[in-house]
Amino acid sequence: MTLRVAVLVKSVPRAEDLALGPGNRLDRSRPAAETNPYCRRAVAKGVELARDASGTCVAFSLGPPNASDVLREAVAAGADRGILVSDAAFAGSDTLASSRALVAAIEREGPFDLVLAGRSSIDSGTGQVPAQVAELLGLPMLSSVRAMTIAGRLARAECETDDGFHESEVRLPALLSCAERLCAPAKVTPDQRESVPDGLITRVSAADLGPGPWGAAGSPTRVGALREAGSDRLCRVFAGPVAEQVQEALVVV
Amino acid sequence: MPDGSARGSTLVAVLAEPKRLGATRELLGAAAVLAGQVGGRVCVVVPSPLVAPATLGAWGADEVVEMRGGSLAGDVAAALAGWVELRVPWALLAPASSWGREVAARLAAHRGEGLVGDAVGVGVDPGSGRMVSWKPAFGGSFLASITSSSPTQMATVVPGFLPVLAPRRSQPPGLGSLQVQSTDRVRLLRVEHADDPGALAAARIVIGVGMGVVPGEYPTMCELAAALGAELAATRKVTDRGWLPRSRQVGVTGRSISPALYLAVGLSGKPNHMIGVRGARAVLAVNSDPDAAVFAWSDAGIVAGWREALPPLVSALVGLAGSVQSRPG
Repeated sequence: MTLRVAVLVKSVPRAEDLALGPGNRLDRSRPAAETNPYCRRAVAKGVELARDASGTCVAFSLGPPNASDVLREAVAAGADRGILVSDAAFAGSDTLASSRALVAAIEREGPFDLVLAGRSSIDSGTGQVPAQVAELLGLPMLSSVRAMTIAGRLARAECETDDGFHESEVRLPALLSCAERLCAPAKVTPDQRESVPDGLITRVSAADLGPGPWGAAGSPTRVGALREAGSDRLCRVFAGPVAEQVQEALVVV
Repeated sequence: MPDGSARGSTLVAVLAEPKRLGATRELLGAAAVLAGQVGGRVCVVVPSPLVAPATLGAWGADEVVEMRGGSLAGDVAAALAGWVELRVPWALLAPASSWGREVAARLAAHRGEGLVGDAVGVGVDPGSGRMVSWKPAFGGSFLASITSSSPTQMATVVPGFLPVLAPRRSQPPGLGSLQVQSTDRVRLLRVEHADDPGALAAARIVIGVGMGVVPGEYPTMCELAAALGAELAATRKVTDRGWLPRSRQVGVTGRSISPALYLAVGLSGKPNHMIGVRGARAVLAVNSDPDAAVFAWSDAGIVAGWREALPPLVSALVGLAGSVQSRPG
């Protein structure tokens, strides 16, 4: 059988470049972005599964225009094409509005047998989008997948839990979110990324996906005031021979 | 008057996870405080059996709804969607565990409710009367206040951040039930519990390890921890690699702990991790880099490699504990 795989890829700011944008949302227009590390696993596994089943692998990303870079990376790593869900109307999307936009794009390009996502993103980190996409697509989900196989229409996976793991089986179509240990991350050189033809990345606008509401207007959550979460520790740092430092440190604590 | 209280039966709902008593108690305490502020009542939806309703009442519940028929996240979310439609809670709190995150995210998507993930605190905005959830932002160096405009304001809360309140005297809670339809869409073949999630929360001394401790060094680290009667905790990167179970992850996407002493070893001190030990009475860091960020989050810093500094530190702490215990009176 062939396997139609959709992979969700998020462009995240490099940690040292995190900055506030208007309305206290993350500023995603800055250039230093990269593929979320868990999404790199989703791309690598999606490409591998599609190749083994003579299937197809389509990468989706919601973000500003420069999120096309993470789609180019996915295509350079073996995905067939990329769908960039990008429009000023999507600005200010919370996880629910993001999930609705991604779902609309997936339904427009689909159907798919398997949707792969990262277990969470390292910038906001809640892991809500995979579960919300699964819910809106009406799919069962296995989360934090650290090992998986597909046989016919059945996916079997080992999933990380808080205190161990479980092994479970779902019938396709299904959504699986990928943990770091699932496989080596998809990585390509900047040259490989740049050599991906423009024609393999399709931009989808809000108008293409329907009336919405999208973005901030379709987001039930609002980010308000920020407060600093600094340290209130004593911050005594010692030097010299270790034995002396140990004694000095013990006096403090 | 706070929004919602005019309805007369403002409901603050808590979702309890199977077997997770500690997290349930924290959420019920926070829910009771919220309910007090908006003139509402607390209803906890629990997998059956969890704990006696009277205990849940002492923790803050005015009403207990037992779920029957299954506990798979997708099935529970579907059942809760109907329950929320009927009861329209003012707020719904769930644990930020792998199970709680999926249930809450599915429920929020199904109903179109606003959901704040991985909150570390909740309160009521005095101006609007809406629930405010505090969530770490920008790597943990800021807390952002987030509100929801939806009828039910949802949040998942990271275990360990909310204070555990003393049991209250209360009327026995009202009892109800909720049927969960089991769909068998996910077939559970095997469950492995590799760790006791309560051990870390209860430890008086915790050694937190980062990428500076490589897998071959864990036997040494375990021996040092055992000598101290300490538990091991870790950064996200360590648990991502599976060097320690996920239940050992401390920080924004793990849990918060409040030991008497936290020894930070072989970790750089990213705010997202260190915010998880803000409740520790003392933090002592060992790092060979005098400029390591971890020292800004510590009471005392030893500038040395942990392989050199930790064994004498552990010996000294063991000696100290011995002399304290043998002191008369």
